[in-house]
Amino acid sequence: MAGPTCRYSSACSSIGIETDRTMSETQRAESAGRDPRFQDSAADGSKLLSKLAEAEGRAALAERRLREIETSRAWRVVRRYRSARKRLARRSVVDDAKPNRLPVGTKGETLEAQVRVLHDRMKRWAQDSRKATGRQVVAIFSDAPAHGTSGGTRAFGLTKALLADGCPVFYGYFRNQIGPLPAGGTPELLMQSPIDATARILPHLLESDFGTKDKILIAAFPHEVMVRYMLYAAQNGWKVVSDVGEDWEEFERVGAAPWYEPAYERYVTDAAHAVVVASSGLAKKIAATSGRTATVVPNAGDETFMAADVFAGHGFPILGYFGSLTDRWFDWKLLMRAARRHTDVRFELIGFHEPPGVVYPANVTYLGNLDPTRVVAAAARWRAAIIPYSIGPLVDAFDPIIAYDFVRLGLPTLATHSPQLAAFPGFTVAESPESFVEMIGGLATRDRRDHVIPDEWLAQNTWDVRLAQYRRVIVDDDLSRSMSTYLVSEQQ
Amino acid sequence: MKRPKVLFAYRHGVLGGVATQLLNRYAEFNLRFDVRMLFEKDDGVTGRFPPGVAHAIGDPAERVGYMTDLAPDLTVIIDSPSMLQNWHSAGRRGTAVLEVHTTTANIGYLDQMDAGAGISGIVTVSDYMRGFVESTGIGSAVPVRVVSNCLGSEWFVRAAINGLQPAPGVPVIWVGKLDGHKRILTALDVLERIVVELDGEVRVVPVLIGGYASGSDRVRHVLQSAANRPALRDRLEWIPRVDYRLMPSVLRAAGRAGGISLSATKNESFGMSIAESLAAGCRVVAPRVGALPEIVPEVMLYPDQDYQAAHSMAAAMLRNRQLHAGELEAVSVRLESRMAPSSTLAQFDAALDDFGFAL
Repeated sequence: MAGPTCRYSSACSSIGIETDRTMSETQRAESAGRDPRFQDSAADGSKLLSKLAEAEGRAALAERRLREIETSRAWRVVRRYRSARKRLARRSVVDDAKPNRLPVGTKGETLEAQVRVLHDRMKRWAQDSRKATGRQVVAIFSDAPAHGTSGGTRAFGLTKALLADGCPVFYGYFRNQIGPLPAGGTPELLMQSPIDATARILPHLLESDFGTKDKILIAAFPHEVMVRYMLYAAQNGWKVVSDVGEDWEEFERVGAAPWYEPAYERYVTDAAHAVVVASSGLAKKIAATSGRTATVVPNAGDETFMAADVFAGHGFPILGYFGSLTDRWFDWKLLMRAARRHTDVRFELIGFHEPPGVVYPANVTYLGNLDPTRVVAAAARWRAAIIPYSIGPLVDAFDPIIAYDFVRLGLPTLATHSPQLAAFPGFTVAESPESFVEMIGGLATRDRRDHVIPDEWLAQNTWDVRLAQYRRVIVDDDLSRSMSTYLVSEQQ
Repeated sequence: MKRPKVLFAYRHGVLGGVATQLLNRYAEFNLRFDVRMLFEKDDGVTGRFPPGVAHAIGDPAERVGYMTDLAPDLTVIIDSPSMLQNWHSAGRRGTAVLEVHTTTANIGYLDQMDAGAGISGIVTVSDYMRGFVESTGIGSAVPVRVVSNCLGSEWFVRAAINGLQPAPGVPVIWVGKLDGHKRILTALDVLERIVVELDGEVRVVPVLIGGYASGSDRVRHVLQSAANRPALRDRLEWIPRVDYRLMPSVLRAAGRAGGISLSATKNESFGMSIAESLAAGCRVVAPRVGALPEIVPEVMLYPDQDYQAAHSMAAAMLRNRQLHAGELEAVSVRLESRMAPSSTLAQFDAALDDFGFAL
């Protein structure tokens, strides 16, 4: 895919040099040497270099000034005000929804029609579920849909493992506005339902008869619907797990969790039979805020990702990243700094939520949101991977699924500071943005063929293994809470 | 002999309140009548009746068609002016009686009706409500009679509870919607004061039951309000929804643990949640409003909005689990008699007699 026109191409065009992005640098140099047009290229080259130095100097100055502004008191005040305004604006939209804090549809009757469709589907799914071979039926509620997800999510990783084990899954997901429903019955035993419609059919789901199957409800995000129904689920024999995959408070702070309320999170954590978290950082936060002991069940990687047999990289080093490119945690400034410092290194980005208006330097290319097969092909050319996330509490809680994918793809990786990542094989963690930039040089010169992918680690970090860990937590009989006293029917 | 066909028509097909009453009375009434239930919308109630008994029909024309085809001998329309319209459109077949449960502004529809509405009589649930209804437009034109709410015998069982662990504390139960009518915010104030006063003496566990259908703002407000009260933050339990079939166990367990039910309600046409607590053997602290004095022992009533009195009464009961045990036993016996479904049926039959027709 051709990227946007870069400064390098524009500069060359202005002095009559054609560029071919598919040529290697060596080929270009040889080509330039034979061409009579390059007699004066040395002088032109010097001019370009001094212009580049000038531009870099201005950029460095601008960056310094930006830092000064960002750390100033005035900016911090303005930022809090703007953040509060954004939250208020969001709330005024969602609070208009009746009766719950659910998305506003353009047409109320569309939601009603969808509820009817989903109710019928749910009844058929419940019937099919009784006949399924798996010993559990699971209802999992996530902030992201299962279908069309670019990149894996924790909830969907668990879902796939459950389905592979013959366990039916009801997958409820957040949406901010009404849109088309996912297709029913694909794959079999998976039923997907957006959270606004789910609120209407959930009591029927919770009351459904699933025979002798264990019933597990996983609240993978502390949405209001969980608050309303999780104890009703417990009354109907469901084991309720609060699954904490992210620091939702920090997610909300960066605008990535419009449904978040601290009181809801507290309630879900307190009321669940068990609490499972993705990282030790989250376990510590849960202990500090609620006193509950959480069990760490980390994420895992996509098993379709496997390292290529042959390293297909060019002579010049390419460092790559795939995943979410949202500026809420992807540190674009850091990436650009690294790219400017290391002009002999190419950076390739694959993924979604690219912010608008990004101006790419010559050595940074956005390849788009590619399917897994093309990701694997691109990654085969990379010397290593980078994870340039904004250092802070949000990232401290991360257990990024892409880290597992990078290991599976055989990529040594440089990441910004994250407590969980230091233990990943082949990972180097930079304490600060400055050291991240410094370390790019060493990463780019590594010979990827020297990197050994540990088979044992790969075997221990799959979603099947995570599911087994999960089951050890939730089939433990000693999951009683004081309020379960009131939810036990009288026995004769 | 063919049983007379009776249709009960009510807008809201949601479990709780009126719909629960229809469930409670169904088995007994169905011995005497061929009972059908009609709702405008089903939020879980129709499946609780035997197949074919209850229907939810959203379209008014279809409801008219249903009423026409069913041709009931008696249609009982419960706080649902739209259903009365449907009965008119269906040709006013048989006899129609209104049943009134609401005490809120929704009762205004009675003022707007006249004798031409074709209603033969009005039944309501308490003496308090009879006085209330008789003061309205239609209430002064047609006879009004009392037909008590009912409770199944399972509420009055005194058997030992097996399989239930003792609660780690003494519960104070609050049951209701999270709304201003039930005065939930006031109740939180009183609960907080009780917890603080008895701290170190009795470990009070406040329990809120209900509110799963409340609006988002209200849910958020209540949770945040509880979180902002240090005495409640780590102690308060909120169960948004409890299956009605489990409520006898919940209230019985609370009573056996020495707990109480607390109410701060503005008004009650009958006071079902209070009656349920008393029936299950759980003492109550309730305001002297609406019909509550008809069912609550005097020693368990406090003057409306006198929350100091409510607090003192609650603290005294929580300190002494035998306090007012005698009154509790006596009222439970009275309620069992008054609220038995057979008693409700007898009152219903008597009301129909008074209205001038027999089925």
